[in-house]
Amino acid sequence: MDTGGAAVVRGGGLGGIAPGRARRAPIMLLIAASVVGVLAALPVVYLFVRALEAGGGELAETLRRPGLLVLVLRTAALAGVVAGASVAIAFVLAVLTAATDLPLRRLSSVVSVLPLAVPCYVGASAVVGLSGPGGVLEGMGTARGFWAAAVVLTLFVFPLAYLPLRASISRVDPRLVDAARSLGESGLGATLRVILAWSWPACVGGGVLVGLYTLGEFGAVTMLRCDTLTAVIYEQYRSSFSRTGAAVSSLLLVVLVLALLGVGGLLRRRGKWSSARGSSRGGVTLRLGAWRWPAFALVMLIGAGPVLLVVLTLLSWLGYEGGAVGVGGGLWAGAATSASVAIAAGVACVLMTAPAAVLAARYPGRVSGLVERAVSTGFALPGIVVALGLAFFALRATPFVYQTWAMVIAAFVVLFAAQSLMALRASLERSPVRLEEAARTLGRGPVGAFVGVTLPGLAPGIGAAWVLVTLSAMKELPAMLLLSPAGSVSLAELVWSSTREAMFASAAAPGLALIGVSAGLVWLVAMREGLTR
Amino acid sequence: MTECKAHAICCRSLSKSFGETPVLRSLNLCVDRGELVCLLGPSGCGKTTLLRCIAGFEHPGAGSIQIGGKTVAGAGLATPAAPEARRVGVVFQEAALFPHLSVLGNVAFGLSQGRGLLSRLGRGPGRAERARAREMLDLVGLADKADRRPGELSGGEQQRVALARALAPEPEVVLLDEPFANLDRSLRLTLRREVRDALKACGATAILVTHDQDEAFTMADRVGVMLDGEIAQIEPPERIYDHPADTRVASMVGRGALLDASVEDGGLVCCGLGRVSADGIGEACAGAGCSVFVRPEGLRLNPEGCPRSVAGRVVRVEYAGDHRLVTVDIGNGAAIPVKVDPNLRVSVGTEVGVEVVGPVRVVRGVKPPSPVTVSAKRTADAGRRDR
Ligand SMILES: Nc1ncnc2c1ncn2[C@@H]1O[C@H](COP(=O)(O)OP(=O)(O)O)[C@@H](O)[C@H]1O
Ligand SMILES: [Mg+2]
Repeated sequence: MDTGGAAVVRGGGLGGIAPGRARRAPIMLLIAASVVGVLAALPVVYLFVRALEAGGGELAETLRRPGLLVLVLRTAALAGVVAGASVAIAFVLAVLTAATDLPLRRLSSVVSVLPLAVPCYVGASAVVGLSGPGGVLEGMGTARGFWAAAVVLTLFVFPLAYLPLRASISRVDPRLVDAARSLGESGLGATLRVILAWSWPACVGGGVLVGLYTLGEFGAVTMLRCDTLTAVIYEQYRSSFSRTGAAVSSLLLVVLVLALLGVGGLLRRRGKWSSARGSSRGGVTLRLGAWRWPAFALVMLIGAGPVLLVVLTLLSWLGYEGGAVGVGGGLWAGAATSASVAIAAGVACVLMTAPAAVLAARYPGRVSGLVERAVSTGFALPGIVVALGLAFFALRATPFVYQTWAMVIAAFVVLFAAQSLMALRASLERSPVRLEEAARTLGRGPVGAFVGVTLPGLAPGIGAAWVLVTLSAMKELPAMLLLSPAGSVSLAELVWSSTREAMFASAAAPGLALIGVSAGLVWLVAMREGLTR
Repeated sequence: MTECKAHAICCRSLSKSFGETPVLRSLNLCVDRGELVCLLGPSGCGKTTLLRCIAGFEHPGAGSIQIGGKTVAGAGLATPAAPEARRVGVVFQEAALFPHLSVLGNVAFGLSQGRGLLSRLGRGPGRAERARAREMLDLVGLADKADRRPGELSGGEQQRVALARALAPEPEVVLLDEPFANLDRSLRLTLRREVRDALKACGATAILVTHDQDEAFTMADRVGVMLDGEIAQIEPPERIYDHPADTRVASMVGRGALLDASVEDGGLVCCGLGRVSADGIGEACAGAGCSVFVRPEGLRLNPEGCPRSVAGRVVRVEYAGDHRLVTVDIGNGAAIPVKVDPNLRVSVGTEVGVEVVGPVRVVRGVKPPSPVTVSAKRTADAGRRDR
């Protein structure tokens, strides 16, 4: 007999077609998933309400405030400069570490993300101290103002652009390079052009990420006397005369965020190969020849140089008068505060985003799309805007939570839910629905199947989400400054206030502690991105 | 519906649509206890959907399903029974073993149904459950792999574990959805035998879905040919091969020639192969025009000009080891496959004669459009049309 039927196209298997497609989500899940979406949308919506309430006259007056335009322009310019410089540095490092025969590539890759281990305000604190009276850099001019801020920010945030760029460049399809060369381009030129065209979406994405961060940056810019909108918002809020002013300034910042996202979208569309698929065994390798070791030195200088400088500075301050004070009671109280709030924020974030992740992974649809959009809005918003929006809302609607830890944790959830949602969703999507179905046929109910089969597979994803949020929350400064209960001081606040009062010695210990926390974060990110392999 | 008590599973007038597209069309299927039914159908004809309806992952739009005499969907039931309440075992195409459990843990997974959620989480399988799981692993020949992780097994071993897992709770019926599709050919051959043996050893009722005709024919007690969301014919493999119910089944299963014919007196039909006697004229033929079907082994190749044969020209020769398949063009675009001895050397272009020596069947339905030869490629086309 002939295998007539065997030539037929292969079928999809039982459940080969996304089984969620035709199914409707349970109502409880929809409600639970919406909670985090509503929370994430709350701050910005409320800021709008608040600003509109003020009425046209007051609004116009606030907007006509002298110096406001300069401030907006400065904020935008800083974001633009830092984003551009970061992408340039990140592109060079990503090409070197992902597309050349650079020696010690793994070490080089990890060193390229190392600067993330230094929170910008800690770096700024070191720079301020070094250039102050008695500092090493004294007399070299004042390390203050726009360019100082631009340099410091760039040096410590460019890895945000490096990560997507590296991931993209390591997947460049070598056949494209071959094709370009066969069309008569020189080896190096062809390769670089192909890489640039290929990684264009990643360049834009990385630039937007850095830009968003810079727009919301508060600690470093105030320390370096390059006031941007965040500094003004803080002042306006603190002075409490012009709360409307604070709301309006926050909305201006939101406008800048939207403008940045818009520019990013425009730039991305100009990419030629943005939809090209990466090759599985991808990657090209440029031969560096005699430049191998100089290139390696360059990577080390850019990646490890500033980090070492900051760490050594802080260590030397520990020996100063007052350093010991910092190490004493204040430090432990601060560490305890930071740690407990951050841990709680991590738990809250995971618990609140879990339903949204299940919804997005198993029942994708309009609601899950809206929730995801709201949550990523929270991620794009500056911490100070989120904090302010929540503060306004709480003052009006739920005064009993104002200036409690619940406010701080809610702000952290808004700010970091996106990270947790993505991590949870990714691991849920890796866990096949088929396993749950198999468990159902073996006698488990829906909940039993989830707990017995899916949950064990999710543990690493849940862990990753929690650690990510916890470590990020430890570093967050403006939300803490605005919302924390009176009398409590976190590590981040310690660094900030000590630097402002020029008591650098007492900024040393909390600064080092924060670097330790961030190093953990960097390690996690590096592992997840496969830099350590 | 009383007769369904005798069946392990009974689907009546089952219909299911996704949006506007009907996928199952008033499908009927009853499977006896201990029987192994293979559903054979092209990709996209609704096999998976049928199994998902039976398992309870999809709910039929109309019709009813009874499992072990108990209605689980339709027939006045307010809500369809949940999958866990149906006593149905499933073997998926990609095994779907639980990666966090050992092989033994996987097989024992369905054995702890009586216990509460917490106690199931707390303890592993109990003594009796382990014993039963080992028994099942023995049955599929994997007793020595009980402590392995699923990831450490080969594809064939994973499928055998999946079968043991599905069989362990003694389900009313086991559903297997293309369980060998992801395996290479030689493994498929041995696994077919092993799976059939294991199912028979437990006396399990099973429905196996496949698009591979060999697989269906070698494994099944009865083969159900599924086309376009319906079961076109369900009978033992020999009957399907020798007596295809209609032209669609004839062109789907095996090779052969389908020809237009007209009925004459005395059990004769007149077709491109001459005036021949044919079976089944009464059952399948209403008017004078009908289709007849003849297998390649029912034809003989003669030298040109022989009596009782129809003249034609060889247009293709396929060598298959134990036979040669010669395709002969007898005019009117009718290309007839003839099975010959492998040692017979024929070359393309030779003028030959074709003689009918085996049975010619009259089949229901219209002849599919030319080319008349029913081949693997045509089956694939049929599959594509069906979607
Ligand atoms: N969840 C679903 N949503 C929409 N269409 C579906 C869904 N599941 C199956 N289909 C459609 O139903 C038809 C039959 O699918 P399926 O039962 O998987 O076929 P088979 O298993 O025989 O290859 C296909 O056309 C497929 O596209
Ligand atoms: Mg299928």
